[in-house]
Amino acid sequence: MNERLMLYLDGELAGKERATFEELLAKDTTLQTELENLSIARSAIAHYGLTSQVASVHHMMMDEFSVSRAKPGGAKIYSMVRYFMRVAAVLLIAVIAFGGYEFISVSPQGIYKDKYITYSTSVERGGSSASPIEQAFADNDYQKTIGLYKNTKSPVINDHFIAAQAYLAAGNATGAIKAFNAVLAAKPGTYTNIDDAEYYQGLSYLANHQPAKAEPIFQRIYQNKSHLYHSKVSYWTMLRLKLLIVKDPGN
Amino acid sequence: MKKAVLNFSGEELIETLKNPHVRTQAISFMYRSYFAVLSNHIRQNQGSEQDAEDIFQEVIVTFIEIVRKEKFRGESSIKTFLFTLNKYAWLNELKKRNRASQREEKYESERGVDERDVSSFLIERDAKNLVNSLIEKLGDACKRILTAYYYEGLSMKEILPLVNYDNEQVLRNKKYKCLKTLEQMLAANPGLATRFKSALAYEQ
Repeated sequence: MNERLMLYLDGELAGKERATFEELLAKDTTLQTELENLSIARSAIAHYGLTSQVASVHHMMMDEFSVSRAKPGGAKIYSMVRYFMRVAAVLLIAVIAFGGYEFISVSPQGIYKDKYITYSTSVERGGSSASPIEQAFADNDYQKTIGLYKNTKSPVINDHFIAAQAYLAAGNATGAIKAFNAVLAAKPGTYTNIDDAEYYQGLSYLANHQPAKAEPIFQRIYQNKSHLYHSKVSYWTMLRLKLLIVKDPGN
Repeated sequence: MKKAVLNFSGEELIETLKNPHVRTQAISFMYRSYFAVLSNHIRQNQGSEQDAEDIFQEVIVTFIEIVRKEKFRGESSIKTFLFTLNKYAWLNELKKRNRASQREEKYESERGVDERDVSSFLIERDAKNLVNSLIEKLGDACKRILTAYYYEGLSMKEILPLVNYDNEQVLRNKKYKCLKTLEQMLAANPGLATRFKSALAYEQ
């Protein structure tokens, strides 16, 4: 029965066989229900087959569309290039604007104020081992320090150094440069505060509006990683100094 | 190798779709001709790219079944008909997600008689999907045999090399068992079977 039902469903019964089966079918409601359900199942398969075929074509077409979107003249690539060009243009404008602002605003005094730290000695106030010049500097009496220095007939290197710091703190950059030069003229290894002297001499040139003379000093500090003041001189400091020289190198 | 792209006139397309096994080129042609405009409508109405793709697939399947049932009368162009199907399939989906806006609901209430006719083709969407899920449970061998026979229209002789069975009689028995299993699944859920039958009738 099952086989004949299936053959009937599939349209493979013919002639007398078909007529006999249809007679039987007309009398048997259970058989009718089974045939009806099998018929729905067959329709379901046809629907499933069509859905699967459309899904298969869908994937193929989505691939085709994605390839054609990326194809010549490469609309996708072109839009990416255009996006990056826009970003680059914005960055360029920002760099130019910032550079312009820096060029206008940079000054020797600006860098000096940014980099100057008041020098302090380890001398205790009223201590007996300090020289009078050191003691006056420790007391923040810069004019007295300078006066004592001027009255010293044979100042030692440390006297030059302390006096230079006093000149700088008192706003006398020319005096500071002269005294620091005396310190830096000392033989290598004969004085411990050479790194300090170098850094503050550079600052003295800035305070004296002479960035072109300050720049090689800071360049040495920037390149020497073991220099005591290396961390105080960044790439950015050097860039600002170069801008400053372009703007006004001083004398 | 470059693929051949076939173009169809409206009449040629309808005649091609009436064949028991639809030619892939006809479906591809519909994608090339209508996907852009139909998917654009979905994206402009709260839909994602994936929504647009899913709805378009549903529209194509529905349209082909309508054509085969001789229910496409050609009173409007294929494009207009597909666009209306697409619009209402998406509206149904939005309703299902409870996202149909007041504007869209108002539009639905004001639509013309012809459009209501078209939207009636989209009833019982869930029933179709549920029945497809039942078929998925049959397993690969059953799906291959049944679709080869009932959808692709292949004979038992042609199916035999595609599956691992000794002879046609064994294959015939397997086909019967597979269809019977599906029939029993549907018999166990008479409501679903009735809804599915109603959905495929495409009555207006």
